[in-house]
Amino acid sequence: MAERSYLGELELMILLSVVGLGEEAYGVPISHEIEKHVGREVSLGSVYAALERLAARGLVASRMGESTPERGGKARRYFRVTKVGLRQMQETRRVLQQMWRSLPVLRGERP
Amino acid sequence: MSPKRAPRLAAWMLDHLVPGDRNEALEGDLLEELSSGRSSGWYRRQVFSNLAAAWRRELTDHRRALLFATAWSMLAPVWMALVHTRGFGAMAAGTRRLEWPWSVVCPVALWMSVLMGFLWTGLLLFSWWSRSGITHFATRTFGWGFVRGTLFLMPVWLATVLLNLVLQANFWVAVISSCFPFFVAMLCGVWGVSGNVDVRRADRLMMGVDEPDSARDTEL
Repeated sequence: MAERSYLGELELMILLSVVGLGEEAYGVPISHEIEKHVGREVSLGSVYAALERLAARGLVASRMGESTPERGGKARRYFRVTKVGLRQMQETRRVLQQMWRSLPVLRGERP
Repeated sequence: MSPKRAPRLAAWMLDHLVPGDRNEALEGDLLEELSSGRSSGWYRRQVFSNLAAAWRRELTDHRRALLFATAWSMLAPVWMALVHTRGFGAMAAGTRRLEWPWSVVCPVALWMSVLMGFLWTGLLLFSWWSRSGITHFATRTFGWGFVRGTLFLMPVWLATVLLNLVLQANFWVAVISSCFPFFVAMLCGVWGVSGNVDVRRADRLMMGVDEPDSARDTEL
């Protein structure tokens, strides 16, 4: 079976958050960033599941960071987008923009 | 900030019921959120949602194993019917007429060879099927699966037969339940093989760490 090459909605949002957060991209701020824009709660489990999928496709990489007492001594896992990931994001943006441009003006939207 | 205690049962479930390796980062993230003011109810919701997502992923990753174990175990009654020919019955009766202890050892060995023959044929078929679908087929993992499946078959089969006797199950229940030991043993045998995909995923997750960081420098 051919490997899926397009990005899902959550996957794209996560990649955008990871790029936006830079060095501080780990589970908690990533989920906050998505919640801020989407306006509803996002489960950390689904964020990690999507990050694992992205890592399996080589779109993100991770490193273990520091642990703090409020985390029960458990280390943070920091993520960053790889070159392949960035290319994939650009490609997705290009396709989406092209498709939006090809649409007629939607009802309620100013031309 | 002092750490807030996580609800005990939910924390235990996160530790013990999530398949695969422990996700320390996720556990730490949940505790961090709890310490920063999230409620215990929120923690529980997150744990349940993570459990559901993890099991969905696990079953999807092993769908090949699940599919094969289900299909093959459903053929068990057919195999039994095929084996129970008149010749086999005569041979089994012959072994029972042997002298002690062979009158016990030989019928048991004969019966075990029938059960194992079905399981091993299935495992070999799965290995052939997997080689065509998985690029890095791990022979050693398959070998261990073979041993695990073999060891699981007899106890589960005996337990099923005893349960049927105790509950005085009718013919059809006995036939349908005869598939169960083969399903369990087959799943034990092939689960690890189809899980190799996960191992490669984890490898790739760690391999990407040393790649130069370009996320901030590249214009999107």
